[in-house]
Amino acid sequence: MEPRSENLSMCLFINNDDAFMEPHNDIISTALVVIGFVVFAAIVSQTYITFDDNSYALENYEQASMIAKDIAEYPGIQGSRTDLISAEALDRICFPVKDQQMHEMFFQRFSSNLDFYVEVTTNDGNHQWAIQQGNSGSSHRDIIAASVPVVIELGSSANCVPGTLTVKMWKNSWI
Amino acid sequence: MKIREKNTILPFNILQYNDFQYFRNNDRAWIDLILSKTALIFASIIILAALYHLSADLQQADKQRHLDAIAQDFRSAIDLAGQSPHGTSSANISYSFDTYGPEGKLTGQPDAWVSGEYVGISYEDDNKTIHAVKPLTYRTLPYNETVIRDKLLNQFSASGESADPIVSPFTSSNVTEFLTTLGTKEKNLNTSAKVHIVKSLIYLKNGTEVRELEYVLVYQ
Repeated sequence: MEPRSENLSMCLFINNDDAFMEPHNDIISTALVVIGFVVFAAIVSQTYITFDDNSYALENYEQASMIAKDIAEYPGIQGSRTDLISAEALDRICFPVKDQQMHEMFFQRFSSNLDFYVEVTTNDGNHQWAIQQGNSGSSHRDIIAASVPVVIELGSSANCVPGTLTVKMWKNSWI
Repeated sequence: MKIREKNTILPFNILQYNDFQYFRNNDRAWIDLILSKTALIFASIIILAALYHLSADLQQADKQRHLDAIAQDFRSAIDLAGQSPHGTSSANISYSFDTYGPEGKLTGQPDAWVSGEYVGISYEDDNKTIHAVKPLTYRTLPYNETVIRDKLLNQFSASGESADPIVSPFTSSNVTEFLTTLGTKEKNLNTSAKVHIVKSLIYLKNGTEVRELEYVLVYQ
């Protein structure tokens, strides 16, 4: 035993022929396989979840962007020209609603199942309008937003400011 | 290589005294071997079953994605009709589900249905039904133009066409409520036949003011 003790511990481990590791080889290899499998399954499911989330977000972004474009072209809120949005019309339908019928017509063509609200802001931040359907204040769900640039007509066609029309959609709770 | 000496007690010597003693004194480790091999077999079975399940789940998820794509395509076709310029009815769009036909991942024909709120596609696979449901953006009705006009005529004594608008005392909310109730019923669609999608206008007259309500009609 004397010369052995001088060796490195690794050599001691290799030269040991007591076979004390023998019955546990299976356990170690099985444990390695199980760990490998669990890691693989975790990576696959994580990738799938990320992919699903991304495709969901993209799908809803497309929908929100479609609504935003649709609203920007809505004749009910158009100003003196078709490419302008009238601030006066926005005043009537934004919260608090002054013209109930116009507000109703604004949301009429959209499915009642959709939960969204429209925010129009001027780029200088001086004016802001929020058009809301009902009182959907559910803040617990995810929001998907899409915006389009618009030109807002303040009073007359001589006084136009650039702005943004944003549609914010709440994730449907039943999907 | 130094091999450890085995216990020299022979089974027939000890068996007549005590079975338990025989097991205790035997150090050939055969029971160890059997136990570890059995555990290994069990572990392999469990791992193989898990692998099989994972691949089956992935296949199912793949089919689900495929159905989602079909539903999304159908939804886009309906939304496209709704997107046509305001105050005008759209051209009649013929939609067919063939785009994702049998050459895809599905072996049979999926079922489709539409209601005023959403479109849905379902597919039965190994006694399991997979669903894909998408909400619609625009107000939709699963009826054709004639049925809608007839129903409006019965309810409001006017068909809602530009020549025969709905007049007071009926308001737009009366009409919207009535049509929303109509749209709550799901209508099954035949996926091997074409589906017609068209945006239709319902006219309302209040004094001199004329308004249009926009509806997308989906029918076969």
